[in-house]
Amino acid sequence: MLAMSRLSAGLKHLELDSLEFIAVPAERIMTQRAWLCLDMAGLAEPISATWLFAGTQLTARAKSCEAVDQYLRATIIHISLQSKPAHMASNVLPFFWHLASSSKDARLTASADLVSTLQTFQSTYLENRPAVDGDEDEEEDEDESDDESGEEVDPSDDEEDAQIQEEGKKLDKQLASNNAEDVVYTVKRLVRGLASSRESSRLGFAVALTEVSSTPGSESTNAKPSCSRAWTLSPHRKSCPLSFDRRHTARPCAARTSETPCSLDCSASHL
Amino acid sequence: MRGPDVRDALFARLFGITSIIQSGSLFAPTSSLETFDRVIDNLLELGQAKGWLRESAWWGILGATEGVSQGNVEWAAKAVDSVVEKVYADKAWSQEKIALTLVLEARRPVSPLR
Repeated sequence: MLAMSRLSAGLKHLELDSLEFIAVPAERIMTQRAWLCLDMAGLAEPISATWLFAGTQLTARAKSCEAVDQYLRATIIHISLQSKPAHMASNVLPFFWHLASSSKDARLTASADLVSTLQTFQSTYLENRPAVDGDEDEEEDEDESDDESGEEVDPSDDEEDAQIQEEGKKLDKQLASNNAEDVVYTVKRLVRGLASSRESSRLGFAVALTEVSSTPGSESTNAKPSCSRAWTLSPHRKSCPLSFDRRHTARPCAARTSETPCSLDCSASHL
Repeated sequence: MRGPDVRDALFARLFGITSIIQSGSLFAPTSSLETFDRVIDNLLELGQAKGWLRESAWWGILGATEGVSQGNVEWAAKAVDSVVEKVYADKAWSQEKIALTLVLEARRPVSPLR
C-alpha cells in the first residue's frame, strides 16, 4: 500500500523515468494491478509511462489498463521507487530481481546481462574520466572489505570494530572514486544481497559478484580451474565483465565453458 | 541477532568469500598475502562456527590453496606455508583436512604429514 501511494505520487508528478516495476510472485498480482489501474484512471491527463518488465520496456498510456493487464497477468509488479536515486540510470535495476530467481537459466541470463551492461558503463566512465597515473585500485579489494566489514563483529571488541569501520569507509571511498556509479551501486547491492534468504539469491548474487569482480588482469594470471568457476553465460557476452584497468580494456576474456556452477550448486544442495 | 539472521550472515560471508576466491581476484596482482591470510582465517572461523558450514568453508580453503599455488603471485609459497601452519595447528583430523592434505601433498615436494 505504501508502495502504491508512492506510485501515485510519482505519476502525479510525472516522474515517470524513475518508475520501475519488477516482477514479483504471482499471488500479489491482483491487488497491485487493481491499484495501478485505479491510479492511472485517476489521472486528469493521459500520460505515457514506461515500465521495465523482465528487462523489456513497455510503454503504456495512462487510462488504459489493457497494456498493463496484458503484461501483468503472469507476473506481478513490485514498485521500487524509494530505493533508487533519481539520477541513476535504471538500466541495472531490473536484473537484480532475476538474480535471485530459482530458475538457473533466469539467474544466469540476469548475471550475464548485468555484467555486460556494467561493462558498458564502466568503459564509458573510464573514457570520460581524466587520466590518473599510477592509481590502479581495483575492485577486488573493495569487494572483500565490503564483505568483511559487513559481517558481525564481536561487540566486546570495540577497538577492532572501529578499525574495521574505518577501513571499510576508506575502501568504500576508493571504490566510489574508481568506478562508475552503477558499478559501485551494483557491488554494494550484490554484497548485501548475499545475506538475503529469498529464493536463490545467495547463489545468484554470488555468481554475479564473482563475475563482476573477476578482471581481465586476474583472468590471465589465474590458473585454469576445474569445473568450479565456469558459469554459463549468454553467448552474446564476448569480453570480460569490467575493465578496471585501462590497459586491459580491449582484452578479450578467456572463453568460458558451459558447465554448471557445480561448486555453488553443491554447497547449496545441503543447506 | 536472531537465529535465522545469524545463519544468513554466516552464509553471506561464505558466499562472499567464495566469490572472491572464484573470481580469481584473491590471486590477482593487486591482492596481497595479508588479504589471503584474512580470507583463510575467515573460512576457518566459519568452518568452526557451525558444523554444517564446515564442508563448504573448507571447500573454500581448498580452492584458495589450489588457486594460489597455481597462480603466479610472488607470495604464493608464503601463502601455502601459512595455510599449512594454520590448518595443522589444530591436531584434530577431519575429512576436509585430509582432502587439503592430499592437495598439498600433490603440490609440494615435502608432505605436511610427518
